[in-house]
Amino acid sequence: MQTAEQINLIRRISWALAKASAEDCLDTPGEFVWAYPNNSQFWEVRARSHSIFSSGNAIKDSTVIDFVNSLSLSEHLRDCWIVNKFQEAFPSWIAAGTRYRLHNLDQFRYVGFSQGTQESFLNWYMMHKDKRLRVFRGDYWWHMEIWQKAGFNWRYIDDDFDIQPGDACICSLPFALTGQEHERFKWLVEQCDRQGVDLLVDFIYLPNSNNVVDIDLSADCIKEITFSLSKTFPVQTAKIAVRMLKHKPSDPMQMSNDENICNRLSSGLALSLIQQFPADYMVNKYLDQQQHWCERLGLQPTGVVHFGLGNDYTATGRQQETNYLSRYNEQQNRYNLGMLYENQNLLKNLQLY
Amino acid sequence: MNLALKFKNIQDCNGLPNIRIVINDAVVFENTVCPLITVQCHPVDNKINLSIEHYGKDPSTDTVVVNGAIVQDRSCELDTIEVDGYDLQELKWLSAYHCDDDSVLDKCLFFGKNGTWRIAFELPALKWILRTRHEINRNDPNWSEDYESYVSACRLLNKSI
Repeated sequence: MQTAEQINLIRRISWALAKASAEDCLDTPGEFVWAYPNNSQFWEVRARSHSIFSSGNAIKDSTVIDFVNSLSLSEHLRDCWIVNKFQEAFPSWIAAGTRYRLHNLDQFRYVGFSQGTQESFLNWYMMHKDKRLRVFRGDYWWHMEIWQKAGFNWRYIDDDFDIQPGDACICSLPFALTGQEHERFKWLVEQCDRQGVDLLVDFIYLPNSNNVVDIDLSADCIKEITFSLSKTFPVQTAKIAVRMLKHKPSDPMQMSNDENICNRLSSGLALSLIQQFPADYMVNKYLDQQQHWCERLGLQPTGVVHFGLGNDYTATGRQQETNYLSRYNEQQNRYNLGMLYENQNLLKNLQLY
Repeated sequence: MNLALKFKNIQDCNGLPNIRIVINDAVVFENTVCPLITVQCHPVDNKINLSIEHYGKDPSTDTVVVNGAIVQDRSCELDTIEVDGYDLQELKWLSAYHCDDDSVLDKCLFFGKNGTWRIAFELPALKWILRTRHEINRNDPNWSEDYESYVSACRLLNKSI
């Protein structure tokens, strides 16, 4: 798919951005803790160069960052209604996105702030602890890592296509690995409906998606759907997510929400963000960039604006860290292009654009 | 080349240890030892022979022995060697201490007897470190390609290597 020249360019960009990060000269500074180089020497830069295209993290859009910097968040700590305000505002905000269609979203009447989708997932695992947990290979590695560590019974759907009544399934839409609908997603919904199996649909990348999601959420099996602002806006570490259910849940997360002890700082930030920016803000702003970089690097554009698909970027020049953070992380063909969008001026100056 | 040598456990006994640092036959430092010695020089050759001579110690006056045990001894230990900002770390052990009495102590960073500690390396230090580590451990087959990528990135950004 990619030429040797394009692979070489990918390598040069990785090293240049990694060094620029270490020298604090990115156009948009600020990294996530696990990726931040401790110094500007070779080994730290090499480690950072390995993760330039990994992760699904949001584009660090400077307009959003400036907006977040202008907010006074501490006032939300004293607002006992702030979480409710966000929960009430979120469904219409997400439904107003113009680049996807969620039919029968209104059936999900129970909306809860979630401390990242991870909180929702943990509660879902707990409430399905006696089931065999199922996921497609290439979906969010965190599920499998936790299941393995905690001793859950689980199996990839790809390794056993027989969905049974004792199963419980999770699937991201768009699918995390490809940025498109998983080729067996509709089949999975049918199977789950037929077998009475719960299906959690994880809309982690939905706001950044472009015409790849058109789903009828009325299917009985779809009991729960989750959303996140972490992949939409550069607020990952604020852990802002939402889960929506057709029936009121009875689990630890709901108990905490009923107690009104949710994170008000994050809820306040989330409310401000959705009042200021439409759900498809990033797609509208960066679709041209996706086209540019996919052509330049020989990648196939995906339905998620900050992803492109190409050769496994760990296949050349890497013996270690080929599965970033987890052996279940099998997303090395998916290039997160966010850092290229964020550092357009730098890359132009370096003649790497 | 920027060289930074750190010494530890510096023992004064009738005076501090005298050392003479020589790079490719040129004396770049000659004085009593101190915890940090930095040297800037511009060797013509990329192959560097670094030696540190410990001299002028008289065991009869500069070592105190009580009941057969040394209770005071003019001495010091070389702790770290940094070349152009890169710590040689474990590669400092690729050295030897040549005592004036003709004995040779491999992997010895202790400057007790009069003698000369020697190590040989090459510039750029980073390249030598990567290559040497791979030659010893056989665990970094991509070191050369990564080194070149790193140097290109540094040049592109006009930053030091």
